[in-house]
Amino acid sequence: MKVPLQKYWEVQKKYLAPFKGKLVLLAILLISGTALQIFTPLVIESYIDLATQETVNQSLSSFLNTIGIPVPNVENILATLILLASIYTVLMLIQQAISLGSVYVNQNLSWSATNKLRNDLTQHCVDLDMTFHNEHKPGEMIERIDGDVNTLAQFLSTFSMQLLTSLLLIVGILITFFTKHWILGVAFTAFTLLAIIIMYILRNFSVKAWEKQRQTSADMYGTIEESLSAIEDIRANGGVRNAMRKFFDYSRKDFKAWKKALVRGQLFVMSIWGVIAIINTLVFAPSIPLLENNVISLGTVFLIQIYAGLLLRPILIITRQMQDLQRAGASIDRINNLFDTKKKILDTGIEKLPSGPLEIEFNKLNFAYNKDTYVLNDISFKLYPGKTLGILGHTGSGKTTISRLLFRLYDSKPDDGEILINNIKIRDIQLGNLRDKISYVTQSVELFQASVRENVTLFDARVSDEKIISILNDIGLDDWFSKLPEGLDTIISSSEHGISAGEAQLLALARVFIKSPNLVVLDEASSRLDPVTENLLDTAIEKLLINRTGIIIAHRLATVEKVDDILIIDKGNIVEYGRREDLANNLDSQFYHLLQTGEIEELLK
Amino acid sequence: MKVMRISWEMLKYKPGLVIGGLLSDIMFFLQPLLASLIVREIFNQLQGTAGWDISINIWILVLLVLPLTLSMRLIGDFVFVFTMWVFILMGRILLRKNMMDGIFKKPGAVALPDSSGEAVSRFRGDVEETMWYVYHLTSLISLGIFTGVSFFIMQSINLEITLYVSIPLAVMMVLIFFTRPIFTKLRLQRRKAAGAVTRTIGEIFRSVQSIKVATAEDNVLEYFGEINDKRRIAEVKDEFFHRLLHSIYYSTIYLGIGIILLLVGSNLQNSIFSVGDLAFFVGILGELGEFIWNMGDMVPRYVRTKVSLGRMFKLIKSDDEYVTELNLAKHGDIYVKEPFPLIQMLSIEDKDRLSKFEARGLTYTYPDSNKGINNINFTINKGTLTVITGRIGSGKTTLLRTILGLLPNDDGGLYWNGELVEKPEDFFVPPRTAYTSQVPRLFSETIKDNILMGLPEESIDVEEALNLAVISKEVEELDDGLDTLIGPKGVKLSGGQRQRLAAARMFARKSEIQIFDDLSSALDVETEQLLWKRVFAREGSTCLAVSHRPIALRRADNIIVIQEGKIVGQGKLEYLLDTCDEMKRLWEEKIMGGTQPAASNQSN
Repeated sequence: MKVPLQKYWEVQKKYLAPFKGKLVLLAILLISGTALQIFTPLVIESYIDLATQETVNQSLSSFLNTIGIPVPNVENILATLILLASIYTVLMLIQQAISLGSVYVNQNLSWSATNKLRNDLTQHCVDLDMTFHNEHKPGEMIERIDGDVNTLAQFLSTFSMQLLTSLLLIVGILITFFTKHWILGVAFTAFTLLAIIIMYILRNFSVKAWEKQRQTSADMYGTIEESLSAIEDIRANGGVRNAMRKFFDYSRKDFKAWKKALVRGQLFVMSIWGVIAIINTLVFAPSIPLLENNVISLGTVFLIQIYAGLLLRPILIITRQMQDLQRAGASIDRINNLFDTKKKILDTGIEKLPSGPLEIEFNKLNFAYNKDTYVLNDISFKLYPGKTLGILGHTGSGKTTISRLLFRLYDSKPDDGEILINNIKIRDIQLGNLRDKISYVTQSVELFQASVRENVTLFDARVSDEKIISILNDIGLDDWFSKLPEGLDTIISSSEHGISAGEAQLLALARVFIKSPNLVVLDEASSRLDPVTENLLDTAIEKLLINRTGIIIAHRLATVEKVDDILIIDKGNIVEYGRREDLANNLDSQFYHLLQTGEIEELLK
Repeated sequence: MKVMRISWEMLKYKPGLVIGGLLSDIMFFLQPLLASLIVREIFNQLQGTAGWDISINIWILVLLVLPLTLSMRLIGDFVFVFTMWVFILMGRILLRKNMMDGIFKKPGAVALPDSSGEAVSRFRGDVEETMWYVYHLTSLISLGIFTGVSFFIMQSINLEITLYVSIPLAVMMVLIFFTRPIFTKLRLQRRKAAGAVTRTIGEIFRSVQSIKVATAEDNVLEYFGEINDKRRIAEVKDEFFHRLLHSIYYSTIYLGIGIILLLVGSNLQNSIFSVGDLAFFVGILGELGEFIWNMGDMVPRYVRTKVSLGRMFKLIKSDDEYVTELNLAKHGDIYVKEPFPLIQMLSIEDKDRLSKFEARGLTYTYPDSNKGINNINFTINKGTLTVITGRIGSGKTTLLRTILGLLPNDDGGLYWNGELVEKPEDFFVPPRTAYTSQVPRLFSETIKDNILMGLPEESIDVEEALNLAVISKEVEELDDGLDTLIGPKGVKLSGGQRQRLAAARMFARKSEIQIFDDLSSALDVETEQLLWKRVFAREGSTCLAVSHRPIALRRADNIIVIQEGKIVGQGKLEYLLDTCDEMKRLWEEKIMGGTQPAASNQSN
């Protein structure tokens, strides 16, 4: 495992690089702020020395000369005191203004950088194979993409800067100590080194515990999300108590993980207070004999006290940063884990499909989602350009798998047969090109809480409103559309409120009509429709199929009425395959049998 | 929004932990005061001015007393973890529990104001905000003690200077008060923008397959980028404004120190105001800056918490007037020590056994449209099959939801064995009714756990339920059988399998009425027929189903035809085909959609 700093550095390098200008501005603000922090106490030192001694010694007059104040004589000391007090106040106010400016720049920077990270991470995850998505709940993805990146957000832009300015502050103060007296310099340098060594040793003390806590939180929110999206099923089937039981189980685990992480974190903080105890003693211990021997002035003791307080701050900041780094380290690990998850479906193809209807061929194809449980066995068929194939089978027979393979949502093993499109192996075709040429109408309907327009076009701004409206008319959503208060700009809630499941499915279907595909795959598309709407849709689909190759995965005979070929599949094996007409007229065929015993028979009982 | 009442209820939830936390906080806060006093004494001794009457050797002060005060802070801090932190964690669970409870009490179909992903952001950010506020309320006490003692000592050193120093502090308090509305607005925008981001992530990963096949990855990500950018602006605005006040506040502190320096001038020489006093004032003002800022921060915190509580309350708010904001803080066990008790077996009293179920004048209209159902009347007798049919968007699902209490009925009533059901949402659950929705939701658990849904295993005939739902064979063929994990929301199963598993979940509950919404929509004909046959074969089972399927329509004892939310026909199929135009249309479309032989045979 890499050191967290190193991991952090890599993330930072990548995500801060585009914001060089802002980074430079931030650095200037932070460094000038630090310089002021070191300088301002010197004003107070002079003030006290001037006020208590009422004489101007060597070091005082040289300081006043440096900042351009005339060295006072005994009469006008009060005026100089007032001047020093004013300078002090003004400098402190400037310090505040600078810190405010740096907050603004820093916030902008960190959100810009982490937004980029969020986008990249989302892009990467969206790109991952379906096998990945099947194992990760959307709620978990929320926690991992937003939660983990949030942990990084405040941290990403500040870490290096704060580390740098903290070090600057420490070095500046130590140098000033040395100029006052070498004993002070040595004592505080030794202390600072000791403090930093202790911090370094302890820095990983609670990292595992925080990592665990983040995971338990993700699990808990994942469970809550799952329950909330299933409220109807839970309510109507008396599952409320069970949902609560799950909620409590995950909350309890999270509670315990939190407690453990906090206790370990606290032990870390305690070691810091030990350090503070030493520093407090250090302030006075060497300065007492030095003062008594008139080596340093009372003003200098006061200065040392202020500096000691100042010195605590960068050490505390570094400590807090180390702790944050632990937390962020855990987040970075989890983020990197996601980035390291590689898809197995690689886009290495270079071939492009021509326009015009496609030819599809499955050649002795076997497929298993898991290692050995084959869901497709020895599937071979050939579909000529412009023809339509109807695939019939029970649910779970492997119908949907065939279409998923066509889109390369999954890949079969290299030695398990092949899929050819226009005689090109599917893997040799550019993935984007392949998916552009095929349209897929699925059973699942998921809408975005976005406008009707965005839901239909899936955020493609290039599609014209006229086209969208004409598609909505074609698929029979004209009535529904005319009732929308804001037309295409009406926001649809993804929780399906205000839109019926059937309407939602039609809306999802509209997406297919946006593309101009060469192959159309329909997967139980009309499942939630009533017969009237279904007929409307059939007409639209018929239109869509003109001059295109089509695959219709059906569970109803009516859907395959107009197809050219029929393929009946059962438990992953082809039971029957041939021209529809031939099969329909062959008294021994399964299809003929189905025609007799299927839905039609039921009608006549 | 009763922020204070809710906070008070939360504090009362675990008073012991709160008091322990408060004491540890006081120790924590008093330490710098004590340390400053000792530093003052050290400076006084160094300067040779009058110190405390009891003169302690300066070396003892430096090497022993000063470090000892630090142990106060250590102990305080450590106790804090075991008291206040535990309280904060438990409080978060209590709030979440009450939110879950509240949501589950609402009509299920309109329970969430927004998507489930967005709701989760309320379970996270808003809950955390609230508990921080509750904690900071207690810290007001420890801060108050600290401030009081500090001012007492300061004025005993020099009253005039203390008064002058107080002026900028007072000005700041006033400023904070007047900026309240800006805080509310910015915070609301920030939360909304954050919610939009989490919601969009959820939506993207729910629709990931659609996005892939539509090659819409780039467009969707661009949209996500826009949402992210809106959030950046909202976050920066909110944070900057916060820090602006913070900065102004600190400036007043430094102004205070400046004032001291201007005032004391030559007094430092003649010991009216010693260097030790100056050290004390500077030290304490610095600490006061930190501490009083936290107090001043209470106003924006209050505002943010008010917003958060408002968002949380929106999740549980219902027509029930007994549900108030205080429900959020309702005390109850949160089971952090022992697990939630096991769920009892389902049992039904004889008076609840169905003989007749009626809907009279049932009406529901969606709030933001004129759609819904209107004046629905029908009767279900024991052992019968009732089928609801109608075209898309006609109100079939709405009717089922209204019956089940998943939607609140505006008018009319439901009668079980002739008696009005007061609370349909609590009454229409197993073992009286069980339900399979149109798009059933499953859980990322094993198949068995999905069916049991918490019921004791021995009380459920899992095998029979699987068999009824025509899925037992497929389950057997899975590697781990009943113990197979089906992935989030059951994604590892096909659409049809999910639906049948949900049906099995319903059958397992052996309820008086099985209610299913177009159960067969993702099933092939043979599977569907088998399912219907098995349902019919079940002795005395009563069913209410939405379906367009001829097998169901023919077998139905009563068909309810719905058009635009109203019943346009009711009765047996033959009767309706003669009398109901809408039924005739639906039926003919069905036949037209079928194959030719069907049409010709139908005339026989």
